[in-house]
Amino acid sequence: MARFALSFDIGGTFTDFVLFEIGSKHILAYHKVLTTAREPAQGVLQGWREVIQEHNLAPSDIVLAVHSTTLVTNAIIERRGAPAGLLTTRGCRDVLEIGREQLYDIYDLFAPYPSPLIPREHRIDIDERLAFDGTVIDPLDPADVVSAARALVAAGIESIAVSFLHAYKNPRHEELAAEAIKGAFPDIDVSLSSRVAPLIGEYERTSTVAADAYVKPKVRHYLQDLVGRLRALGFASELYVMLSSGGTTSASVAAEYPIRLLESGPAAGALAGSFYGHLVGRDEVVALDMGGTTAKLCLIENGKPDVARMLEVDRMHRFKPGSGLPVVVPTIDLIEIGAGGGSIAWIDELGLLKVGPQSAASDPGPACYGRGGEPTVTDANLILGYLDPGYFLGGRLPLDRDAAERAIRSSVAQPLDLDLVTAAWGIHSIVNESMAAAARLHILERNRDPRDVALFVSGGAAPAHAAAVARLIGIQTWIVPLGAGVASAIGALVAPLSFSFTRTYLTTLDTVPTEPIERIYEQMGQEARRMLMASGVTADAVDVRRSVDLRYAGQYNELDVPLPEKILTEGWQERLRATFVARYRQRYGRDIGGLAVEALHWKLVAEGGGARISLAEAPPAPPATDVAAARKARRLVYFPQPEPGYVDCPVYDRYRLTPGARLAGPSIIEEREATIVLWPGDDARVDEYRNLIVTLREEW
Amino acid sequence: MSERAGTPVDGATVEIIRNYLLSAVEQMRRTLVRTAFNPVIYEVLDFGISLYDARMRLIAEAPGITSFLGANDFAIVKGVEYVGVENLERGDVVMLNYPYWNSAHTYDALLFAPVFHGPDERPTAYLCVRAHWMDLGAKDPGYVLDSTDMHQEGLILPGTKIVKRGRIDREILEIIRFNSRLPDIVTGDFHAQLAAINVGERRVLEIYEKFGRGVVAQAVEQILDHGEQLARQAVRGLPDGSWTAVDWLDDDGISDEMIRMEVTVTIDGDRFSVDWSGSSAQVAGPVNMPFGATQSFTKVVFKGLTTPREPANAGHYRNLEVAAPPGNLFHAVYPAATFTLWTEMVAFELIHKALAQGLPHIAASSGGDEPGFMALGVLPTGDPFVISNNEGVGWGAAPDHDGANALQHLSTSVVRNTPIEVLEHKATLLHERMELRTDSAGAGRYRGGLGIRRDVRFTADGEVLSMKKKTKTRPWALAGGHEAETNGMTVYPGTPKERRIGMRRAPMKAGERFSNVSAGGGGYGDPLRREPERVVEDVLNGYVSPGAARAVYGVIVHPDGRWEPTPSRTSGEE
Repeated sequence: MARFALSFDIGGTFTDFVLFEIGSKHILAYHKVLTTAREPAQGVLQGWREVIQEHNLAPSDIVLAVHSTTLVTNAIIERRGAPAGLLTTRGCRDVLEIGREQLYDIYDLFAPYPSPLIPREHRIDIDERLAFDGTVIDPLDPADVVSAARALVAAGIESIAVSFLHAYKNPRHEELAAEAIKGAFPDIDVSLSSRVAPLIGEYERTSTVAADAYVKPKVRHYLQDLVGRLRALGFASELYVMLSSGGTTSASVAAEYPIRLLESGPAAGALAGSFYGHLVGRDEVVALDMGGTTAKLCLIENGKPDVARMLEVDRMHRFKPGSGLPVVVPTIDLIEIGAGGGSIAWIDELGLLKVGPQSAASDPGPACYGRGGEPTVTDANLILGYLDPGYFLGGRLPLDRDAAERAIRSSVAQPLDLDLVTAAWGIHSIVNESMAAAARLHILERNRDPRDVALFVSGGAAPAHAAAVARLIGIQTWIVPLGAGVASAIGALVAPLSFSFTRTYLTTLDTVPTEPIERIYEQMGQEARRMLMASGVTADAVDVRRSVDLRYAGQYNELDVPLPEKILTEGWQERLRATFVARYRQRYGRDIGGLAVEALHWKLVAEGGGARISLAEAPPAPPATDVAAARKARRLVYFPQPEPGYVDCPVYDRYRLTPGARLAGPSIIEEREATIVLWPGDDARVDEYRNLIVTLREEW
Repeated sequence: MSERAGTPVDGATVEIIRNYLLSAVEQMRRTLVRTAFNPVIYEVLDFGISLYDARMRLIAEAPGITSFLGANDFAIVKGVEYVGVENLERGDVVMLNYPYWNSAHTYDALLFAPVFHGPDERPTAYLCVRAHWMDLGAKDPGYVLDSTDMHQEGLILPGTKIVKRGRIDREILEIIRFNSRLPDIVTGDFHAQLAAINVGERRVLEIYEKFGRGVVAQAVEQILDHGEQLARQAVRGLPDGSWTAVDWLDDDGISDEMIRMEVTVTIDGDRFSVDWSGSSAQVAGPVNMPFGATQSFTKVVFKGLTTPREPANAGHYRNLEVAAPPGNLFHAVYPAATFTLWTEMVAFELIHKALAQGLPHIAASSGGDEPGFMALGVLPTGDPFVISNNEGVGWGAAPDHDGANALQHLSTSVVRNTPIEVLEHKATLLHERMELRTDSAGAGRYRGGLGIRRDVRFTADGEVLSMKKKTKTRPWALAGGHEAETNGMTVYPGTPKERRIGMRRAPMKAGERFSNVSAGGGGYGDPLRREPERVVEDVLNGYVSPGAARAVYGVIVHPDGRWEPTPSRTSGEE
C-alpha cells in the first residue's frame, strides 16, 4: 500500500498543499485553494478532499500531515485573541506597557506603537518578590492569587498570564500561582513566563507570556477542531505543526505552547533552503524567497538556518525593528525586505527612482495585470523580456505588455528623462541591490567569503533576479529547485520533530559550578523527552544537542557555542571556553586574550526520528546531451553585459530538462510559477534531483 | 579641488551608490556594537558614525544616540584643521576629545581616519567613529556634575595620532590607560572603534573600485543636491515668521540659580535660522554647550521637521543657520566646564516651543529632559559597579493625538532602558515599584503621555546620581492644555532626611531608598473638550484619577464605567 505525506500551509491568500509519496520519494502534486480566513479549517478540508480525490487515495493513505499557518500572527495583528489578564510582581504591572521606552524611528516624533495585548485594567500586581539569584524575599500567598484571578474572571477574562520578576531563575512562585488559579478556576487557561520564555529581561518575557495567554484558547480550539474534522475524513495519523524554530511537534503539544507557532510558514521556507543545499552538497547557503510583496532572506551556516532568540509581531512599520511586540521564542532568523514582484516603482519629489516597500498586491496588481495598477518590478521584468506575457502562472494570467510599458513610461521614464529600457532596468536593479545589500551585510558580518556561499532561490519572483543578485553579492553558484514557486512547502515536510528550550543562567565561565547547569539540562531534557514522546517518538530515538550563548564579559552580542558533552566532566568549562575563543576568532577575526567569558543562555534542542522524508533522484532517463528538445521558443531579452542591450535568447521548458542537461546563458527557462533568467556568462546544469545549478563562468 | 565628473549620473545609479554608502556605515555600526565592551555604547547607543567626502561634507551616517547625529560634522573640520591635512597619512587614526572642537564633552572620544584611494596624496574620504568612554580621569567617578573648568573633566587629546600608518602608538594608549579609572573597558572600546573604522575603510574603497571614483564623486554631488532641494522644499512649505521662546535650566550644579535659555527661530522662504544669542552667558558649572554640540542638536530638530525619512547628508543642512556668540551658554569657550550635556535636552524642545507659535503640527513638551539616574557601589563579589539608566518620560500631546506613555526623551529617543532584572544583577538595587504615574500627564483635549515612578532600595552601601536638569519648571502645554508634572528624584523618602533633588549625588546606606519620577507630557487643547468616553477609559486604566477626571475634565466616572458631565463641562458646551 502506498503511503503519502501531505503538507499544507495556510497563507494570507492561498492555502498550499504538497503531496509526497513516501515509498517512491517523489512529490506528486502541488495544489492551491483560497484561504478561508474566517474559518481556515474549511479551506484545509476542501483542499485535502480535492488532493485525495485527484490522486484516488484512501483517507488512511495519508500517514503524515504537517501544517504551517499564520493563524497566531494574524490573531495578534488583528487583535482577535481571547480576553486575557496578567499577574505581576508588586509594583510591576506596567512593565508590559513601559517596555524598553525606545523610539524606533529617530526623527519621526509621531511614530505609533502597538497597544499592549493586555490593557492596564486587566493587569494586577501580587505581593511576592524574588531576588536576582532566585531566593525568596517576600513569599507568595496563594490566596492573593485566587482573589486577583476572581476579579479577572468576573471581568470576562478567559486566559491568565503570570510574569514575576526573576522567575526565569526560580519558577516556584509562578508555579504556585498556576496551581492556585487552576484550583479555583479549572477552565481558565494559564501561561507562565518561566515556562514560555525563561530568559532574563522582564519586558520581553512578559510580552511573550502575554501573547501566549492571548492566543492560547483560540489555538487550542482551532487545533482540536481541525484534528476532529480530519479524523471525520478518515485521517488516522498524527497531525504535526510547524514551529517558528524550524522544528515540528504534534498538534496537542503545540496547543500547550501556542506562541511557538508564530512565523511557522516562513520557517518552512528557510528549511527548504537548508534541505536543498544539503542535497547538492552545500552547507553555506543564502536562502532567498521572493514573492509578490516581500523578499525573505535566511543565512544557512553549517547546514542549519540561523535561529534567533526573539522576533517581533505586529510591527507598526513592517521593516523597522522596535516597532512591534517582542516575542522571545526560538525563531529561524529571517530578514524581511520590501522587495517583491509587486513592489511599486516611484519617483521621489526630486528625481530619485525608488522601488517599494509599497506593493500592488493582487488587486489591482502590477500594471500588466491590466487592472489599472502602477508600474512594478513584474512590469519591468516583462519589458526586459524576462517574463513571457502568455506564460505567466503557466498561462493562467495573461499579461498586458502595453499596459506595463505605458505605466513605466509615464511614471518612471518620462519624469526621469530615461528611455523605457533604462527605466525598466533601473527598477529591476534597485530591488536586486536591496536584496543583495541585506545579504552582503549578513555574510560579511559573519566573516564569510561570499564565494564560499551558494544562493538558493524560491518564490515566484526570485529566479528571474538570482543571476543579478548573485553577482552583486559576489556569489558564484545558485540553485533553483524544480517547482521553485512553491518549494517552501517542502520545508515543512523535511522538518524534523524537534523542540527547543532556552534558559538564562548568567555566570562567568570560570566560576560556574557544574551542579546547577546539570540541573537546568536535566529539567529541559525531561521536558523535551516528554514532548517528543507525546508526539510519538520513542525514548531511545531522541537526540539531544546542547549549546550555550557566550560572550566576553562586558560585551553585548553572544555567540552560540556547542556543548557536546552529555555529562559534564572535569574541565568542561575550559573546553567550552576554548571553543568559544575559536568561534569568536572565526567570526570577528581577532582574539581578546585573558578576558572573562560570560554565559547567558543555556540551550537544548531535542530531535526525534531524523528527517522524515528524503527526495529521490529523478527516474533514470537517457543522459541529456542535447537540450534542443527542451527548447520551446526564442525571444529578445535584455542584459546589461557584455554590452547593454537585447539579445535573442532561447527559451527552455523546465519540465523537459532532464538530469545531466547543460545550458549556457543567455537563456530563459520557464516553469509554471517562475521564470529563470541566465545571464551571459552563466553555466547551468540539471542535477540528479532536477535542480538547476548555475555557476558564474570565471572570465566574468 | 573639485572632483565633479560633470556628466550627471542617472537616478537609478545614484540610488544604488547611496545604498552602498549607507550600507558601509551600517556595517561600521554593527561592528562597533558587537565588539564594544561598554553598555553605554551597546545599550544606550552613545556613539555616532559618519562618512565624509574629501571636502569633509557628510555623505552617510549611522545613527547612534539622537544628539550625536551631526556632532562629527563640526569635529572633523576642526580635527583636520588642527592636524593639517598635509600631515595625514595612510593608516592614521586621530583621536579628538577637546570639547570645544569635538562637539561634546571630554568623554565622547572621537576617532577619525583619512581614507586614501589609489595613489592619492590627499584623503578621498574621512571616517568618524565617536563613542562615550566610561572614564578618562575626570574629578569624580561616573559623571561630573560640578566641575568649574575643563581641566577637572579628564585627559584631553586635541587631535592626536593614536594610530600612525597602521601601527597603534602604544605610548599614547598607555597614557590613556593610566589616566582612566576603567582602563580595560576604555581600551576595549578603543579597539571596537578601530575595528569599525577598518571595516568602513574596506567598504568605502570597494565602492570607489566598483563604480569608479568620478562616478561616485558625481553621485555624491547629486545626493547632496537632492538633500538640499528636499530640505529647501520642506522649509518653503512652512509659514514665514520669527518666534522667540524662553525656558529655564534648573541650575549649573554650583549655585541654585535657574539659567535662562532663549531661542529665536526664523523662517524666511526656504531658509531656517536658529539663534541662541538671547540666552545666558556661559556659567561657572558644567552645563555650557560647545558650539559644535549646539549645531548638532539644532540640526536634529531641524531634520525632524524637514526631512525625517531621509538618511542624513550635508545637503539637508545647507539652508540651516545656527547662531550663538562666543561666550554664550550655547557657545562655550575655553576654559568653560562642559561636562553635563543636559542643557541640549532642554534646549531641544525649546525650538519646538518657539515654532509652536507659528506652526500647526507641533506637539507640547515631552517631559522637558531625560531624567535618568546612575548608581555606584560594590557588588557582593567585591567588584565595584557603575550603572546608568535612562528613564522614559510622557510625550507631549499633539493637535490630533495623545502623547505616548513612558518613552525616551526626544533627545535620546533611540536609547533603551535597562531591564530591572539586569540592573539587580549588576548593581545592589532592589526595585519596589516601576509604574506609570497617575495624573502625571498634562490634561487636555489630547492629554500628554504618563511619566514613570521608580522606587528603588539599595541592598548595600552605595551612591545614587540623579541625572536631570528640568525639575523646577513644568513641561509646557499648547492651545489651552495643561502643563504636566515635572521630573524629579526623592531621596530617603519617608524618613526625616527626605528631600527632592535635581542633578545631584546622594550617598545611600543599605536599606535606604530613592524614588525617581519622570515627567508627563504637556496637554493640547481644553480638557473640558476631551471626549468623555476617553476620560472614562483613562480612569478605568488608572491613567487619570477619578478626582482629576471630575475637577479637570469635568467628567464624573462611576466604578462601573457609567459617567456624567459636571456643570463646568456642560456650561462650556455651546
